[in-house]
Amino acid sequence: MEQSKLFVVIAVIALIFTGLSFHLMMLDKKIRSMERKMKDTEELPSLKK
Amino acid sequence: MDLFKVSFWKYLGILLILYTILAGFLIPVPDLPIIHESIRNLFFHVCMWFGMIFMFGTSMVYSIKYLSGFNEKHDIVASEASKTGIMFGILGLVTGMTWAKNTWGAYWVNDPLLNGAAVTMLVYSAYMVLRNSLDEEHKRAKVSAVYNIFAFVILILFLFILPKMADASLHPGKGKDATMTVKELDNTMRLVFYPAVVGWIILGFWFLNLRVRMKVLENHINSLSGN
Repeated sequence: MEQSKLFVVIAVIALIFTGLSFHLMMLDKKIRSMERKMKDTEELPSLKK
Repeated sequence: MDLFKVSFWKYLGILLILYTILAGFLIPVPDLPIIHESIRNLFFHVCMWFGMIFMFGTSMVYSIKYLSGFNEKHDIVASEASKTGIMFGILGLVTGMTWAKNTWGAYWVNDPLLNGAAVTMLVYSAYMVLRNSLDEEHKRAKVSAVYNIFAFVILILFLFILPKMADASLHPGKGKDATMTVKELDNTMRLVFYPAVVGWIILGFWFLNLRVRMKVLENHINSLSGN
């Protein structure tokens, strides 16, 4: 019984982390598409090296 | 900055942390007095401090870079790295306090490393206050870059030098009354601990990467709208 409880807790933690990772990947993708749009419109004069 | 365009390391970070979560709770650990099963917190608590130090170190490096070339992007990286470092520091304090309650009986004890960590967090909080208190962009970047370099020196002093010099510390490897040293770490635990450190550091750099890119976009949008 104790062992199965432990597995449930680990599974929940792993699921939460997977969800967070998925969110980060989506955010990354969204930012990348915005960066592409930004480059298409114009360069960043003030932030360019 | 080209490194941030590569996604392989981000997936590696996710895999390493997933491995840490699964193996960290399931591998057999040595039954040491006082800490017992709570030793598994090593895979999370200590890694938060590693993440924090790497972030604050990155912040300091970019502050130096800013002062040598006055590139606005370096100031953004320094600022965002500090914010990410503070996040890791708060997580380190929370995991540490939970561990302390279960082993030492109190959330906060008079330990040189604990007090040093609290001072470090206050120093970096002051960095954020300093940034927000200056309106002029270039002045803010310059003053906060200089402060940031001193803040990292204070971190080294309070987290690495003073705890080593203390007569006693409850933390392993610090002071004379050390309960466990890193050298005594079980080999099975090393198999999880090292990947965990790498995984959390990668996650930190991913957070930083996202924060910097968002800030650059925000600045661009603001410049277009004339703010």
